[in-house]
Amino acid sequence: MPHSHNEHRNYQESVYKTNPEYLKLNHPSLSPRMVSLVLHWVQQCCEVFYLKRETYYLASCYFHLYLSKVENLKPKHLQLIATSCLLIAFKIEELGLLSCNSLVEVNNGQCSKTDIVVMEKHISKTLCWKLYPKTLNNILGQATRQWDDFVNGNLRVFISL
Amino acid sequence: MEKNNPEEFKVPFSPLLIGRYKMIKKIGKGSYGSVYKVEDIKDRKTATTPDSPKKYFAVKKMKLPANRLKIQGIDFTTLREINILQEIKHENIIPLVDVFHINRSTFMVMELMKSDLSKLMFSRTITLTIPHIKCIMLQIFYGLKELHKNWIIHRDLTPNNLLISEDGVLKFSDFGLSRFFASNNRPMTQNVVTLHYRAPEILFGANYYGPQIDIFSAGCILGGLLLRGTLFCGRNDIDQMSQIFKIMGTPSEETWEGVTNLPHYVEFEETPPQSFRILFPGIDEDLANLLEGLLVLDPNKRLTVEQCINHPFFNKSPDSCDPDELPMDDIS
Repeated sequence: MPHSHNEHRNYQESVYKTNPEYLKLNHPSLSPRMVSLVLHWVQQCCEVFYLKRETYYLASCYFHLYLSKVENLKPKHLQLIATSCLLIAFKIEELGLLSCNSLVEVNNGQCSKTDIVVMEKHISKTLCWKLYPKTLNNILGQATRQWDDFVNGNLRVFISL
Repeated sequence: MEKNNPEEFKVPFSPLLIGRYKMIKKIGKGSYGSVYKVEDIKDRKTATTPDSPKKYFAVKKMKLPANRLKIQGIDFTTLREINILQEIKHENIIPLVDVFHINRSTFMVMELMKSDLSKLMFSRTITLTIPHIKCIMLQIFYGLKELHKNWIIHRDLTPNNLLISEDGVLKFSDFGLSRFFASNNRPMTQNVVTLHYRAPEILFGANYYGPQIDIFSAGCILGGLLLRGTLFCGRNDIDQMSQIFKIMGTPSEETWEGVTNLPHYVEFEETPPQSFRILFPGIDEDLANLLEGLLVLDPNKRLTVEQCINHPFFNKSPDSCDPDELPMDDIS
């Protein structure tokens, strides 16, 4: 029998733990505003490529996990890291191919294809190849599905009364 | 010291991978890429005595995707496979030792195994007794239990992907097709599992299926072990289905609820199910019962891993043998 959902979630939480203080502790030259700008930019990219919501949440998970594991990043690297995170998330979640060329395009040519690919390898290595975190989107979806089941099972009887 | 050995020079590959693994020979090839036997040099340098036992590993070189002109980074199947191997550590799952890149190829370092189950199964010189079969099947179920517990479906369970170590321990490998089935209701592809081990619900094009497809493959393997060949050996999808139904009987709404609504449902000429005791004369009732339970057409009626492990067949004498008693020496 599989683990129960809750058990699985607890296990996942222990493996995919981000350090909430990573900006203060690891990266003195970054500000919260920069991070939020970059993540907003990733959101816009997802819109341009018609990607799923889950892909964005995965990418942001990788982004936070990576940032809590490395130190002293410069602001100019943030966009490259976000791009590579998006690429990995795409490969994990979506079908088909997202070409690196289009990623370079949305980057305004700030980084090259090789940059993205090298960064991708580095990120997956830093995260020890553990790339299946439970995203916010996932947990929310599960909760709403549980609510639907509950409504279908119990409330319908209640309403019909 | 190694330079004195003239045979080492004949190996046409680059001798060292990332300065640590020395290529020895190619041992396998598949759709995913090729597998090489390598020697780990790193530990030998630090060892005090030069005679310390050599450490061998298998290195899987992943094939580059078809459009190799475009740089796309790591191939997504590779990414998923490494991922799943990272998630689970179990005696019956092949351990991943290391991952590294050279240029654009990804290399996965894994434990070196002596053989695989297909060699044992199709060998004409080896006799497999009931304790041997029990031992093999139990190990398959233990591995499957661990996978299903972690919400993973293997999706390519064949004798070729079940490796056997020198002490007879069975290990699952090749997770290129595996996926998590935890909490997303995404449609799944039907293009999985080698045809001869494919479950009927995939053949009928079901968009959603569960871990039961691994159980069906395990059933095909058990049948193969008794038959010493492939149980259902179809030439194409339709032929495969007719072969399955010839033995298990054609499905109908009574035996399998919702079968007629599946996307690729085709009606077959009606045949009644056959008893496994007639097909395999000489097997006892429990074994026939287990085989039937594994190969039930309706996925919801198929046994779960837990039920398989606790099946009376495994509790009866003769008991399952120890892994190291498997006839490993006779494999050429």
